[in-house]
Amino acid sequence: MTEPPQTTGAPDEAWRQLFVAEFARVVAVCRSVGAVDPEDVAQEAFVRTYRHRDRIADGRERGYLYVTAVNLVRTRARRKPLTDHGWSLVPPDGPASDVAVLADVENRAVRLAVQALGHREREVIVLRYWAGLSDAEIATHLGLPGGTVRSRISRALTRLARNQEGLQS
Amino acid sequence: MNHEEQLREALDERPVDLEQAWEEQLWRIGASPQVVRSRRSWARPLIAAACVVAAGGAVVAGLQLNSVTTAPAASAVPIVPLDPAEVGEQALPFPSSLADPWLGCGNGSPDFASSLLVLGDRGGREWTKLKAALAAADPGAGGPLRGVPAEKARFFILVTTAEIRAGEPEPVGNGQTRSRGEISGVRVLVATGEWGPQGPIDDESGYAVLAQNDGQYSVEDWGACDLKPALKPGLGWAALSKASADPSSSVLTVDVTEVDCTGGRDPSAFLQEPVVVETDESVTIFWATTESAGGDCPSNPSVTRQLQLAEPLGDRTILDGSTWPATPLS
Repeated sequence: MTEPPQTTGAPDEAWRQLFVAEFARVVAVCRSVGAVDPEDVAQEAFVRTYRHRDRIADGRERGYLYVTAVNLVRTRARRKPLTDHGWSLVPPDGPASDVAVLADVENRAVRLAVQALGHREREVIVLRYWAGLSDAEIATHLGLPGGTVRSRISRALTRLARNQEGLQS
Repeated sequence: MNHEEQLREALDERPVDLEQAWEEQLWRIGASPQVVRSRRSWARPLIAAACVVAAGGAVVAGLQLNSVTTAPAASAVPIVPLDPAEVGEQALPFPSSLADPWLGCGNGSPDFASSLLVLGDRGGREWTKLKAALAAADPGAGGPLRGVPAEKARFFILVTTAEIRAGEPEPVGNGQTRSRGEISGVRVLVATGEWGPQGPIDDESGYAVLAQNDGQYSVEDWGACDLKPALKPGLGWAALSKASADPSSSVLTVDVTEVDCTGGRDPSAFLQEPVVVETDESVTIFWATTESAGGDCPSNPSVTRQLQLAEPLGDRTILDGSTWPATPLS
């Protein structure tokens, strides 16, 4: 079993506002990088960030949150997917217009291309473009020099373009 | 649209029920409204129970009477583990520490420490696997899963039990051997629905037992949880149905009735010695009885017994310890 949760009392208003502002996006990020249970992962990421927030500098909770979420998705991906048990948390897509279908196909291709990246490159892409973190924030949370983050993003974008071409051809 | 914009657009963002998500978040971090509101009242019986460590015994009129020191202020007393060396041969009916009494849902489900009602596991790898198994069970079959959509099934892990035994000895060189521990029969008791520190908070909430096979779980049993303090094997609870006492008197008169189906036997020969825990605010009586071999369930007869308290009852509440939480008597 994992370590038992700590009972830390009711969160304050600032924490609730962070949750309301970011939860849907954290879920989306988790889903977009292939999480089978994105809402569950997002919830867990918030829990872990909340428990450690005394150790997180002011203004850095958001970055910590997204890095935690992406790491959780990667960790869980090593395990057997839940769908193997005949159960998926992802609801079936509803009816969509032709335009929406086309956009969805393009977006899905992009997401697949992102998922095809190596985890180090995928990590910086997701944090930069989907979580909306700055290069400096990514560098802080991943413990990397700023130059390394920028070069990794650049390489990832190049590889991403190649991946998309490969998927579309 | 350039490549970076296309990348941003690709984020698969969908509407979420934020209100429900926030409720779940509060629940996961152990700060749901029920937990916060009830923590103070939950602490009290634990503190009171911890005081029995200091209990001495005196036999009056055939009963063991426990004189217990006054409960210290709540803020000063953490949960105190019961030291068996201090208790000595005192015939406590509990299988574990009085400071963190074990509880059970009945029906052969595993017992668990009461602190796990708050500290039970609400995350992690096993939790995710268990959620899949709970969702795979037929939610229309009734019990605690009824009406709960699979993806929203709320639960937490109360306790995991397993059999551990030494495996075949393996040579490790120099003529030495070692045995790896083999774990089998893993069963997980989970609380389903809405629970607080005092157990299920509505009729839809209950328990489920999941068995592990080949690393995966399946639901073995579920039902409503009739939460009671756990007892040592061979014992059952006797309930207190009525009490009368002069507030200025130290003698308490109670009616005692066996809880389980006993075939209507006279309980006199089967009642164990009671455990009485006194504090400034309450007198809690734990009364066990020898388990019946089974039988019909006519109305069990009551017997009247007297208890000698350490000091006059005063305005203290009399509590029946056969329930969780202990129930006030009229």
